[in-house]
Amino acid sequence: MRITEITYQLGSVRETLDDLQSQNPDWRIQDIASRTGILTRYVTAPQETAFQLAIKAAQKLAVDRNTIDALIYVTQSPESLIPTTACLLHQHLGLPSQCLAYDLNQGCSGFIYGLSQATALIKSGLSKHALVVCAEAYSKYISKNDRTCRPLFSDGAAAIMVEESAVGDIGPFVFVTDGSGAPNLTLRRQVVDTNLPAGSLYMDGAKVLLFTMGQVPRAVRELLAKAQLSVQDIDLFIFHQASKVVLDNIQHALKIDEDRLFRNYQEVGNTVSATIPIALVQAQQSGRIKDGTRVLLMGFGVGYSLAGCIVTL
Amino acid sequence: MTEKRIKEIIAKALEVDIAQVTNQSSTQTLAQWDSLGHISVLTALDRALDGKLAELKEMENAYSVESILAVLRQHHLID
Repeated sequence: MRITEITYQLGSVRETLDDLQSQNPDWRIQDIASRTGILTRYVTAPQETAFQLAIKAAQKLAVDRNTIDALIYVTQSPESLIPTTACLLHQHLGLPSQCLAYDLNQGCSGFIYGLSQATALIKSGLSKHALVVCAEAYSKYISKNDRTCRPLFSDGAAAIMVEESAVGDIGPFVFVTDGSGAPNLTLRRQVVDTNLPAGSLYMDGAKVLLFTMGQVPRAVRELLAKAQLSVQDIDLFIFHQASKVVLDNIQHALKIDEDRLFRNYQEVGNTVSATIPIALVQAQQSGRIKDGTRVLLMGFGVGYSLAGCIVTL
Repeated sequence: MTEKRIKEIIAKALEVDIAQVTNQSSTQTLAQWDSLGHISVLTALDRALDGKLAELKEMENAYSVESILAVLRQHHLID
């Protein structure tokens, strides 16, 4: 089986470092940017939601929607708790009724989780044409003067088709969960900013960084061992586009050449579960991947949760 | 790795003079040692220790020179 198509949609409001500086004159914006590496972000307009981005992303797909028999909606910004937002998305996309649909609540590891589910559904015979949609609008949870979170997160959605195919491969997978890290990246119910009725995102950046520094290289080595491959056998590494400091550390630990490490956080920011599929699109557009390319994908963060896989395109 | 070398790494990460980094230095005493500075300290120390720092759970709560040295001493990573 293979990933046959990916489309995406970013939030409609573009924010630059100058925008952040003008709104927060006391921030040392260059110090922040030197660590995050993020120069431009896209956030939703006030009435715009992750769900709307999801619809727009999925509507760009060329696939015949009458063939889709599974819909997995990956989000931590649900449009609805009851009923599940996947049912609403199913209706908006006009998918056939003979289609399973559910929400999957994961963040940074969410795309790989969705991919693993789609893969399992296809291998089990429950699906032939699975649609995974990752959609996030963390900006709705972040205070305007939150120096830790605001310079990082963008809002975006990606729609990914996974289908049976005689070419390409998806797997193996690796998963890591550590709930002791939950307090370090969490939505706090206490409203500290009255403009954020859903609660405020809290992140201890240093602790989350330590998690990535400790677990990601280890998980990559485990994944490569499962596939009986080495770092040199991977054509391109696409990690969750958390920030420059995170990717720099992973690169250093695994000794990955710069030309085999994909980065697009500079101009897109951190779109949580959508970072990896958006990166796949941009890597293809820039000629860095094509049919037959072997890519290692890994998402990690909130949870703590980590998921990775190797994909032959 | 010596204690002196650890302090030199911290000083360089925070872009301060080595004389400003004492055993009592911490995120509470040095202006440059804010949340961004702490990230720089962690990454610099991890590089210098060949990736071993990130495996030390105790580092999650080490925000001073004294506490960092204590963790490293506990794990036999400094002389």
